[in-house]
Amino acid sequence: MTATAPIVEASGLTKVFRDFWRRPRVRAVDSIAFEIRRGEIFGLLGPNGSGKSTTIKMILGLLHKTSGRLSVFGRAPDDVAVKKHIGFLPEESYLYRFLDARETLDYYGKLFGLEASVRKRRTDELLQMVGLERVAHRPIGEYSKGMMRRIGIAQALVNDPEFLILDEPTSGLDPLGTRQVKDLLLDLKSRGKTILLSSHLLADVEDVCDRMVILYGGKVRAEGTSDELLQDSGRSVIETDRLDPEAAAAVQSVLAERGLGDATVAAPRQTLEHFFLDIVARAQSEATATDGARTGSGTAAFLREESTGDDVVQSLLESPSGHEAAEVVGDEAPDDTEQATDTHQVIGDLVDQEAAPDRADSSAAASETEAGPDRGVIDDLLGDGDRGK
Amino acid sequence: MTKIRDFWRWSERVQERFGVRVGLAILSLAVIGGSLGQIALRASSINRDRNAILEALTTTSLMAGDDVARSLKEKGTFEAGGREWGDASLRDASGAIFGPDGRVAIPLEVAAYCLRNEAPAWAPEWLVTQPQTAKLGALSIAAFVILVVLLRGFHELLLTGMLTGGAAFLARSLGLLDLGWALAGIGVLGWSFLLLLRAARTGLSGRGGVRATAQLVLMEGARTGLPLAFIVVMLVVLPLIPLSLDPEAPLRYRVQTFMSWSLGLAFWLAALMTLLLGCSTIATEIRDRQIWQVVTKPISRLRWLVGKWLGLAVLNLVLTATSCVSIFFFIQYLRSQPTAEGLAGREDAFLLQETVLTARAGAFPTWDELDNEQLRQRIAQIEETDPEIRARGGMGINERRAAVQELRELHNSLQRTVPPAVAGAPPNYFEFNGLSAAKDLGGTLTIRSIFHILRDDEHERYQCRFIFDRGDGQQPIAVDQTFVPTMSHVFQVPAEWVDDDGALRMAIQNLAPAAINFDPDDLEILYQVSSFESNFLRAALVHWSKLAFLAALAVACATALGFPVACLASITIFLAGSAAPFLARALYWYAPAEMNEIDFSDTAAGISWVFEVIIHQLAVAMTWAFGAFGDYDPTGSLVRGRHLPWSEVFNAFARMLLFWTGGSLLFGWRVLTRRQLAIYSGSG
Repeated sequence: MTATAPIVEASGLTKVFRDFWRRPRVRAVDSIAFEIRRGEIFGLLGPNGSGKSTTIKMILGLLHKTSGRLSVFGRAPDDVAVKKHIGFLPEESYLYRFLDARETLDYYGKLFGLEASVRKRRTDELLQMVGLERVAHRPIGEYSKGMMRRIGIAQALVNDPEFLILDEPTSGLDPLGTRQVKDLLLDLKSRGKTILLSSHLLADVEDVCDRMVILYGGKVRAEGTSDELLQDSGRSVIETDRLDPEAAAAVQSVLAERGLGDATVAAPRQTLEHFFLDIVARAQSEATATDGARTGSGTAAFLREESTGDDVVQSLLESPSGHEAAEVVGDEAPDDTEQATDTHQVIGDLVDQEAAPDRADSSAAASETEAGPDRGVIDDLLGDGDRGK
Repeated sequence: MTKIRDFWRWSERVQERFGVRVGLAILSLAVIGGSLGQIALRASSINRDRNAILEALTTTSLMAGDDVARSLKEKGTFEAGGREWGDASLRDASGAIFGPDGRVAIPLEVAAYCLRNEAPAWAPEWLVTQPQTAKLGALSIAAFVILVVLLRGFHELLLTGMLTGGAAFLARSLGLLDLGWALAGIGVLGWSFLLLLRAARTGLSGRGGVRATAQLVLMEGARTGLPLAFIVVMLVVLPLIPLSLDPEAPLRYRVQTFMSWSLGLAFWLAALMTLLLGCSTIATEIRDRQIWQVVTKPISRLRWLVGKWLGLAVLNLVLTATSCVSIFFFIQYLRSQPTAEGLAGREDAFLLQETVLTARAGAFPTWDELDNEQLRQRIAQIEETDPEIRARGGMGINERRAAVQELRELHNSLQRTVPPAVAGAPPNYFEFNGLSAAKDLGGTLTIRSIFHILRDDEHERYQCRFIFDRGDGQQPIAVDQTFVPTMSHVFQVPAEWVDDDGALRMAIQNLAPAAINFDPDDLEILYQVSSFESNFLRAALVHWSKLAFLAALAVACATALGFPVACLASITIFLAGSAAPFLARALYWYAPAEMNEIDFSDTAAGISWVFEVIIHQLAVAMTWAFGAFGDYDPTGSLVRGRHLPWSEVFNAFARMLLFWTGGSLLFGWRVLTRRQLAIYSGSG
C-alpha cells in the first residue's frame, strides 16, 4: 500500500441481512462507494437505519459484506494485521464491568502487544486526558455513562492508532467533554491520523470533518467536502465590520450602482443541519424506503390524555422554579423561536436521541449556529423582502 | 479503623522495597527450616532407626541363640543400626515380648517404645511418623511463604491469619475443637486460593492476546458472582467434611469416605463452575458486545478462544492445587489417627495401609475362550438335537449369531462357577498372568474376591479353600477362608509364589453346600506398584485434564449458542459422559428383542419395540461418544487404592487435552469465524 493510497476503499458495497431461512430480510447497505483518505477526518452521516453502523461494522470485520469490494489499509477488513493500526469507539462503551479503568486500558494495551512500560505510561496519560485518574481503581460497573464514554475513548487511543473509527464519540459527554473530544480529533488530524466519524450531532461533524458522506436508506445521498456540500451558489453575502447608518446607506447606494468597495463577497454557508434536512426531505419525497427509525408520529396517545401540552407549560410557569426557567428560555431564545422549535422537533424525530444530554447538546449547538453571526446590518441591506430567498 | 488502614498502607509500602522482601524471605525460610525442616529431618532419621530396629527384631530368635534376642532377654537392650536401644523395662517385659517360638512377638510395640523420646516434644506425632509427608509439608509451606513474599501478600496473610485464627480460637475456647480446626482450614484454603490465583495472574502477565485473555478470565472468575459462589462453597465446605465423618467407624472407612466426598465435591463443584463460567465468558461477551472491542484489536478469533480456555484451565489448576493439597495433607493427618484397640484395630490399620493408602495394580484370571471350531461343533449339535430348528433346515444368520453369543457367555459363566466339593466336584483352576513385576517387587499379593451363593443372604457365612501351586515340585499351599455372599474379601500371599513366567496358578475348592459363582471382575490379584503419594499426584492431574476438557466444551458450546442453551448442552454432555460407564453396564445386560421375534400384527408391541430400539441406539451412541470421559475415574482409583499408571495419565492428557479439547476449540473457532459478531441494528 502506497503512502497516498486511501485507508478505506469501498465500491459497490452491499449488505443484505437474511432471516433464519436465509431469505433476504433487509438491504441495510446498498451498493455504496466511498474512500477515506489518509490524514482526513471523514464524516458518516445519516439517520438511524441509514446503514452507517453497518458500514462501520463491515470496515471492522464484525459483519461480512454480501457483495462489493471493501479494503482497509489495502487488505480485507478481517485481516488481523490491519487491526493493529485501528482504534475503535463503538456507539456505546461495551466494557468489562469487573475491571477498573487502569486494568481495562492495560488489557487492551496487551491485546495490541504493547510493552508493560509503554502500557503503564499510556494508561497514566490517557486516564489524565479523559479525567479519570482519580477514579482509576473503581470498577467500571460503577461508572456513569459519561465516565464509561471517557474510558471508551481512552481505550480507542491506547495503541496510538493510524486510523480511528468513532461512532457517536460525544454521546453522553457534557459540553466540556464534547469540546475536548473535538479538540482531540483536530489534534490527531494535525498529527496525520485518519479519522472516521459517525455522528448524529451534525454540529460535531460540521466542526471537524474534512469530507463526509450522507447515507439514507442504505445509499449514499451526498458526498464531498463540507464546503462543497454546504455552499449555496444561488446567493451572495457581503460581510464587513459593523457599519453606521451613513456608511450603510453609502454601501447601499454603492451596491445599488453594482460597485464592490471594501466589502468582501463570498458564497454563504448554510448550516449542515439545514442541508441534512433537505437531503432527508428529498429522499422522503422520492419515497425512498428506510429501515431505520422514521419520523415520529408525535406523543403517544396515552401521554396526551387528560392534559394538553399548554397545561403542562402553564403549570410549570406558575411554579417558582418554572417561572425562573421560563425567564431563562425567554432570554436565550432567538427571535424566530417557533421556527427553531419546529426544526429541533424534526431533527429530534429524524435522529435517534436516546440520551437527554445528546438532545440538549444538539439543541444548544443548533441554537448557537442560528444565532451565530450578527445579521442585522445585512438584513437591513437586503431588505425584508429579500429575506428567505 | 484508621489505625488499621494506616497499618495496611504502611505494610503495602514496606513490601514494595526489594530489600524487605529478600529479608522476609530469608527470615521465613529460617523459621520453616528450624521447625518443619527439623521435623522432616528427625522423621527421616526416626524412620531409618525404626526400620533397623524392626529388621533386627524380626530376624532374631532365642532358640537360635541370636545376640539381639539374648541381649534383649537378659539386659533389655539390643543393638540395631549402630546404636543401642532399650532399657531394663524391656527386660522386665520379656515374657510378653517373646513368643513360645522364641521370636519377638510384638516388634512394632518394642520399636515404638525404643523411639518414644526421639521426636521433639512439640512436633505433631502424625508428621513425625510420616517422613515423606513432613518433607512435602515443609516444601509446600516454604513455597507458599516465598510466594507470599514475592507477591507482596504478607499483610493480607497476616489479616487472614488474624481473622481465621481468631475465629478458630474462639470456637476452641467454646469447646468446639473440630469447628475451630474447620474454621482455620477455611482461612488457610481461602488464602491459599487467592495466593495461587495471584501467582497465576502474575504468570500470565505480559503482552500477547492469549495471555491477556486468560488473565481476564481469571479476574472474571474471581470477581463475578456465579463462579465466585462455586469457589467459595468449595473452599468453605471442604474443611467442614471431616466434621461429618463417623468417629466410631473403622479408620479405613473414614479415610475412604473423606477421600471420596472431598475429591468428588471438589471435582463436581469445579466442573459446574467451569461449565457455567466457560459458557458465560463467551456467550455474554458476545451478547453484551464486549467482543466488538476485542476482535477489532489484533487478536485472531482462535487465539481469543485459546486464551479463554487457558484462563479456565489455569483457574482449574489453581482450584485443583488448592483443594488437592489440602485434601492430601488432611488424609495424612487422618491416617495417623488411632484405630480401635485389639485385633480389629490392628487389622483396620493394616488394611488402611495395604488396601487404601497404596497404589496397587491388579490381574484377573485368564479365561478360556471357545474357538471357532468348538463353536461350529456346538452349533451343529444344537441344530441336530433341536427338532424345531432341524425342521426349519438350520439356524438363520441372526439366530446363529445369538446362539454363538449365548454359548460364549455360558462357557465363561461355567468357568466362574465352583460346584460344592461335598458333591465330589473337583476344584476350579485359575491362572493369573503378567505378574512378573509383582514378583520383582517382592512383598505380598492381595487376593480379592466377591462370591455369590444361593440367595446371597448377607447374614450367612460359608467356607472355601484357595490352593496355590508353587511349582518346582513344591507342596501346594491351602488357605481356608470364610466369606459372606456379596461382600468383598481379601487375604494376602507372598509374591514369591509367582513363577518365573509371571504366572500364579490357583484352585478354589468350594466347602459350602451349594455352588459358588462370581462376576468376571470379582476375582482379582492386587499388588503394590507405587506409593499413595505419587498416585494422588497422578489422580490430581487426570482430575485437572477432565476439567480442562470441560472448559473447552463450554467454550465451544457458547460460540454457537446463547448462555442458557450452551449451559444446558454442555452440562448434558458432562452428565452423559459421567454416567456413560453405568449406562454401558446397563446396556451389557439389556438389549431390545431381535426384529424377527416381534409380532408386528400387535401394533402396541411394535411401537414399543421401535421406541426401545431408538432409546437403545441413543444410549449406545452416548456411551460410544462420551464413555471415555466417565472411564477416567481418578477418585475411584484412589479410594480403592488402585494404581493409576503414568501411561493412563498420558492417555488422559492425549485424549482429553489433545483430541477432545483441540477438537472443541477448532469447532468453536470455525463457528466464530463464520458467525457475524454484530447484528442488524435497524428496525426493518
